[in-house]
Amino acid sequence: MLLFARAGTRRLIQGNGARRWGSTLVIAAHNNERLFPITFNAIGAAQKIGGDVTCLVLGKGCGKVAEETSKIAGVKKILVADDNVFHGFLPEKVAPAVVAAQEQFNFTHIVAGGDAFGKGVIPRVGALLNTQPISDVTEIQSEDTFVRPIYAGNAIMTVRSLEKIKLMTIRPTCFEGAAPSGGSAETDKAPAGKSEGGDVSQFIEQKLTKSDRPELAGAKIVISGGRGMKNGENFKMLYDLADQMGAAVGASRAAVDAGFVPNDMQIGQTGKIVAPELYIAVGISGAIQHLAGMKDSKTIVAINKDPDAPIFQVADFGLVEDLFKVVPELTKLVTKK
Amino acid sequence: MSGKLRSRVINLYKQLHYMGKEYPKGADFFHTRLKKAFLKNKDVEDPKAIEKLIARGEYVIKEIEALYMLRKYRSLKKSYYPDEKPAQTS
Repeated sequence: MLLFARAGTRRLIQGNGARRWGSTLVIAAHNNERLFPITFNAIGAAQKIGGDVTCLVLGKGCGKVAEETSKIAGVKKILVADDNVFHGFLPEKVAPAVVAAQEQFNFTHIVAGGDAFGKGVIPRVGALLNTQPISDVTEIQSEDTFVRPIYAGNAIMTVRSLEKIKLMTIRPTCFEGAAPSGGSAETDKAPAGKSEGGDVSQFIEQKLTKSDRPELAGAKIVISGGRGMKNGENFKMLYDLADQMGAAVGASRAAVDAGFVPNDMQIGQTGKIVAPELYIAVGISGAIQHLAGMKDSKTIVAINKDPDAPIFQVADFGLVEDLFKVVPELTKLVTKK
Repeated sequence: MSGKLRSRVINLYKQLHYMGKEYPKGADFFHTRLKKAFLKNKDVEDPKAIEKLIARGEYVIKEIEALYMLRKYRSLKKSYYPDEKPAQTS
């Protein structure tokens, strides 16, 4: 009897303990002006894990972002470090700061969005903490069990991490974003990290392609062009159509490799992964690399002049027509409405 | 054509022929085109050019594999998740 009671109590304490000590650090991705939407998804994911959510904001002149972060619902505390070394968000500089925060506050989970920034920082933090990171998490089942795609999305794996600190990047399209208002987090200074490796790399400049169109990752409609577009100027046709439909424009790897468009527009295994309601493939005949990035689209429409193009075999709707004729026509039709 | 290359070409043809059996538009559709594509290059003698054509054929195999995979994935998804994305079920 006594034995039973003891076993029961012990389990109870363990259960409580995990909840009480569970705490998650979210590394905020921003541009010193505003938070990137992916950060809200990361915070949303952190809330699913349970426990307190702390947000780490590193940057140069990032006061505005810190303020924005403190208002996000569900964030308990934010750690801010405003320093020149974070200029350009070099992972070499950010990672030690994350480790320093970890050493001071002993988080159980560290979460970052799966964008270029998070993918650069998390592996470094993993190396410094001697911990195996889990990348591209699509679902959180419990505080130590996560779901993630493997083999380029061909299989889904459920992993249970035995690491003391669970490091992960999350796939933003799989988690709902936290509400941007309604929270009041206390602000604290983040501990300074030991910069390792000195100034091996330096931030020189950043060239951004500006666009008023919705972001590829979250767009409801995506129009993408392939090698069939022939050259970069012809992509303007797609932009015109996209503007009328409120769509984002992407490209296949062939189009990016041919230099038609910058590589931030690439959809595919090595590029961005999209899951829109409507996906329009223009001048793409089909490429494995590209298919991996768009297979979760609800409706796939293909426009190609070659009736034998393999993409017609997977598209819900196909249009066999010269794209240089059809796209302007489509634009006209959409505009009329 | 040296014997080694010859057997590789034949192997490639066999592999493509096998993969074409389940082509959505019908095996006949695929097999006539396959034969035409191979016959078109039957006079190629340069070993380097043949290597290139073999690489092209291997690429096509991969493409067809991906095509089958994607078709299967999408039809499975349609039947199991009528209105949501599989990755978002939680």
